[in-house]
Amino acid sequence: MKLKKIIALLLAIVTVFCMTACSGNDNEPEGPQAPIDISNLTEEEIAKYKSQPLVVYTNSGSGGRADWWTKKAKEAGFTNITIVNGGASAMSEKIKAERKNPQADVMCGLNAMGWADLKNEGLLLQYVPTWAPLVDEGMNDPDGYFHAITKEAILLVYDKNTWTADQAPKDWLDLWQDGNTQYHGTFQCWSALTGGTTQVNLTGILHRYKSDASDAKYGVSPEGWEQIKKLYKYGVSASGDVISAIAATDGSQKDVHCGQWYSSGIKSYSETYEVELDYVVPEVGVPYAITGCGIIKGTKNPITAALFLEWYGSTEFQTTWAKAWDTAPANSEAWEAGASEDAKRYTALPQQQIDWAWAQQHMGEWVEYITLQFMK
Amino acid sequence: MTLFNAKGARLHSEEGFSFKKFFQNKGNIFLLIEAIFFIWFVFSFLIYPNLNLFMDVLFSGSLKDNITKIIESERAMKAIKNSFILAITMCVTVNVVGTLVVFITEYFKIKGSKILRLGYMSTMIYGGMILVSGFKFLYGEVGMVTRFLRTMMPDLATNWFEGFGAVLFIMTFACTTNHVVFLRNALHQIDYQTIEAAKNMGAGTGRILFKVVFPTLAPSYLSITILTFIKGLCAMAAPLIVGGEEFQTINPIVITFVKMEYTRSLGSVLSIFLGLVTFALLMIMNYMERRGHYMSISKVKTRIVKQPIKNPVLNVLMHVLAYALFIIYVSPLAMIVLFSFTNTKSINTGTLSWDAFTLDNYKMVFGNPDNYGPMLTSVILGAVSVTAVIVLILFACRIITKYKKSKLAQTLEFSLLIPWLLPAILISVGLLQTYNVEQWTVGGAILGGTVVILLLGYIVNKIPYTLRMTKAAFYSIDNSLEDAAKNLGAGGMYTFTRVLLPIIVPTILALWALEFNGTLGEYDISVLLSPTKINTLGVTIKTLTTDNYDPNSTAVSFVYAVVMMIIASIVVYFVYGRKGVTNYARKSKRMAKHIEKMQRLQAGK
Repeated sequence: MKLKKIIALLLAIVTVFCMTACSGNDNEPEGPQAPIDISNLTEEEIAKYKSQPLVVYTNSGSGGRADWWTKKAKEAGFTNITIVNGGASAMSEKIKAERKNPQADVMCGLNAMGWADLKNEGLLLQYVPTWAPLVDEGMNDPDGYFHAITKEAILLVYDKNTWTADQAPKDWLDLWQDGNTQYHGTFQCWSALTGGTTQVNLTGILHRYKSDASDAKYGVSPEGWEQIKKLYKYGVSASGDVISAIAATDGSQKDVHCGQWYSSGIKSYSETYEVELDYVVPEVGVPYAITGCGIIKGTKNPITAALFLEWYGSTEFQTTWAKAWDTAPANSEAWEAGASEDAKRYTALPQQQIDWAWAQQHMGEWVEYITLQFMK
Repeated sequence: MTLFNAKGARLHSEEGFSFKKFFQNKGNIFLLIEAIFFIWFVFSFLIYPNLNLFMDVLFSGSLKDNITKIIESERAMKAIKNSFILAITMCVTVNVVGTLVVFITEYFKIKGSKILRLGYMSTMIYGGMILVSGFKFLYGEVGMVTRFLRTMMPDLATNWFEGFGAVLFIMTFACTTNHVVFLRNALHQIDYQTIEAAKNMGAGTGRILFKVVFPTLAPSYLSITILTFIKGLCAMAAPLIVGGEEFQTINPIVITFVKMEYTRSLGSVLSIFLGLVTFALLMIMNYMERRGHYMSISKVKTRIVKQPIKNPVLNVLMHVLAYALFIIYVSPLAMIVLFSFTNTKSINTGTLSWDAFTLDNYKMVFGNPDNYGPMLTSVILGAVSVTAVIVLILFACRIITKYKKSKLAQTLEFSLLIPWLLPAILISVGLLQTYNVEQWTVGGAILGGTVVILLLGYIVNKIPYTLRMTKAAFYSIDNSLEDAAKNLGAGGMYTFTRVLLPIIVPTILALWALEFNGTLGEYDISVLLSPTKINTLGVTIKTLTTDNYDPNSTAVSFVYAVVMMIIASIVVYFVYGRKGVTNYARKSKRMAKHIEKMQRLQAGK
C-alpha cells in the first residue's frame, strides 16, 4: 500500500520536474553570429585555422568520393576534417534535429530545394566565397546562404532502337496526350516521389502551370493537375530505374522505352546496360539540378568553415574533381578546364527557368496530393 | 490490496507496513531499485523524447483534416484494406507453413531432416529487399521459373508473379523465422511422457497432435500469430516490388510521408492508427494469456522422440512436401549468392550469361581496408545493444509476469511497447532532438554526438519484439518449479539465474541471434544517431550502393548482402551449433531433475 504511494509520489515529482524542464527548453540559444571575414588573415593564421576540427556533412560522398576528397582536403591543409556520409534527406533531417547544438560545420550536396529548406529554417550562416561570381547566374542564393558546386540536366531519355529523333516525343507532355497513343504505356511513372531527381523533374512539369488564380491548387492550375492525372493514366509503374527497365524490356510485358535520367549518368549507365540512348530538349528548356555548399549556423569554427568553402568551390579543386569523377562544375572556369566533352554538351543545354523557392514551398503538398490521389 | 501481492515481495497487508521491515528484506530493496530504474528509463527514453515530437506531429495539422485526407483518398483506403487482407491471410498461411517446417524437422521422422532444417532456417540470415530480389530472380518477368514455365505454357503472362498471390507467397516464406526459432524451442519443452500416455490410450497421430501437442504450444502460437500479423500489416519490400498496381499496401505510403516534413503529421496519424490496431490485438492476447491454463513444461522431461509416419502413402507425400519446401526456401538464397558474382546488368535485368560472371564486386568490397572498419563497428554495436536490450527485458519480464495483476506492472508492459507505435525514423528524430542538448533526465549530460545515443536508438527500437518473445518464454515456465526452488531455500536471484534462466536460455540465445542479424545493416537509426567518428555498416552500404553515378552499385549491394549473410550464419551457428542451445537445454534439465530429487528427499523426511 505504502509502496504504491511512494512510487506515485516519485512519478508526480518526475512529472512536475518535466513540466518545468520542458518549458525551459523551447528558447533557442543561438544568437546572431558575426559575419565571417577572412580577408585579413596572414598565411600563418590561415594554416592554424585550417588545422582546426571541421565536420562536413554530405550526400555526395558515395562510390568512394568521400575518401577521395578527404585525402585532397588533408593535402590542402584541413588536417582535422571529418566527413559524415548519408542520404540527402537523412543529412538535412540530422541538421534540423541538431539545431540546438550543431555537430556539423559545413554541408555539401543536396539540391536547390534542400538548400531553400535549410535557409528557410534559419540553419545556415551567410558567407559569400570569392568564387561565387564565377557560378552561372541564378544558381547561387542571392542572399549568400548557399552556393552552387555542380550542375546537371535532368533529361527525358529514350531508347534509340525504338524511335528515331523524328518519331520521339518532343516534350514530356507529348507522352500522355490522349491522341498520342504511340507513347502510351512506353514510359515509367513514378512509384515514389521522395527521390531528388524525381522532385526536380516533377517541378519542371508543374512549373509550366504555376498559378495564383483562385482555381489553382497548391500553386498549380487545374490544367497542370490534369497532366499528372494523364501521366499516371498512360504510364507504366515498373520498379527499378529507367535504364535497367529499358534494358529489361526484351521479353517483358512492361515495355519501358523512355523516362527521366540525369545527364551525368547517361554515359556510364548506357555502357553498363548496353542500351543506346538519346535525349529530348523541350522548348521550355531542361530543368537543372545543382549541388551546393553552405556553412551551418552555430558552427564553432566559422573561419575554418569559410576557408573550407573557399577551397572546395575553387577553380583548382573543382577542375580536379571534375576530371576525376566526370562532373560538370557550376564554377564556369572549372567547367571550362575540367568538364569532359559529354558533360559540357549536356550542361550547355538551355536551362528551364524555375522558381525553386516556390517549388520548395509546395513540394510537401504535391507529394501528399499525388501520392493520395493520382498514384497507382 | 497490496501492490506486490505475489510471493516474492512478502509484503502482506494484514501485517501493516513499516519502513524498517520493508528495507530489511533484500528482495524489496531490489524491487524498489528496479521500479525506480524502469520508471526513469521508460520516461526518459520512451515517453519524453516522443512527447514533444508527438504533440507537434499529431496536432500540427488538424487531426480531423488528416483523417479526412486519408478517407477521401481511394488509394490510401485500398492500401489499408490490402494491408489488413495480407495480415489476416498471413496469420493462416504462415502458421500452416511454419508448423509444417517445424514438425517436419522436429516431430516426424523424415530422412535428411538436418539438411532440411538448415534450409528452413535460411530466413534467419536475410530478409527485406534482398530476399524479395531473390524471389524475383526466380519468379519475376525474366526469372528462371517464369522462363521454364513459358516453354511449357507459352500463353503464360510474364508478369504472372504479381499482385496479392505473389506478395502472400513471398511473405509467407519470409516470415516463418519465428516458428523455426520459437515454436521449435517450445516443441522441445513438451514432456514426451504425455505423448506416450496418449499413445498408450490408443490415440492416433492426428488426435495426439490436436489434443496434446498443439494445446501445449498455444502460448507460442499466440505470440507468433501477433508478430505475423504485425509483419503483414507493415509489409514493405514485397508489395512494393511484386504487388503491382493492384496490391499496394499502406506502409510504403507511411514511410514516404514520415520522411517529409510537410506530410509528417499525416504519416504519423497513419502510423499510430496501425500501432493502435496492434495494441488492441496485444490486449486481447494478454487477456487470453492470463486466462488460459497452459500445460507447462514438466520438471522431469523426457526428450521428444520423432514419430514415424505409418501410412506409407502419407509418408512419401510428406517427404515430397518437405523437399519441395526446402527448394522454395533455399533457391532465392542461392540466387542472391549466384548473382553477387555477376555484373549490374545481369542483376537488374535478371539474366545470366557466362561472361557476366565477375569477381570485381568482391574485389571492390574486400580490396579496400576502409570497408572492414564499419563491419567491425556494426558487429560490436549490434552485440552491445542486443545484449543490453535482452538484459533489460529479462528484468522487465520478470516483474511483468510475476506481478501480473499489478497496475504498475501492466503499465510498464504497455509503456515498453510504445516503440511499436512509431516508425524507427521518428523515434530516432525524437531522441536526437531531445538529447542533443543538456538534458536533466540524464543528469545534464549531452548524449547527442556520443555512441550512447546510437545504442539507445537501437535498444529502444528492439524493446517491443524482445519483450513479446521473452514474455512468451516466461509463460512456459512451470510456476511450481520456482516454488520448489524457493522451498529448498534458494534466494530470488539464485532461483532466477540458476533455475529459471537456463530454461529460457534457448529462446534468449535465439532472440540474440535474430536481433543481432537485424542490426547489422540497419540504416535509418544509424544515419541519424551515429556520432561523427563512427561509421556503421548500414550507412556505408547505403552510401556505396545508392550512388547515382556508378551503375555498379547494385552489384556491390549484393556482395554486402552476402557478407552480412555470412556474419549472420556465424552467429546462428554459435547459437545452434553443438555448444549452443542444446548444451543449455541439457543444463536446465539437469537442474530441474536435481530440484525434483531434493524435493522427493525432503518429502521422504
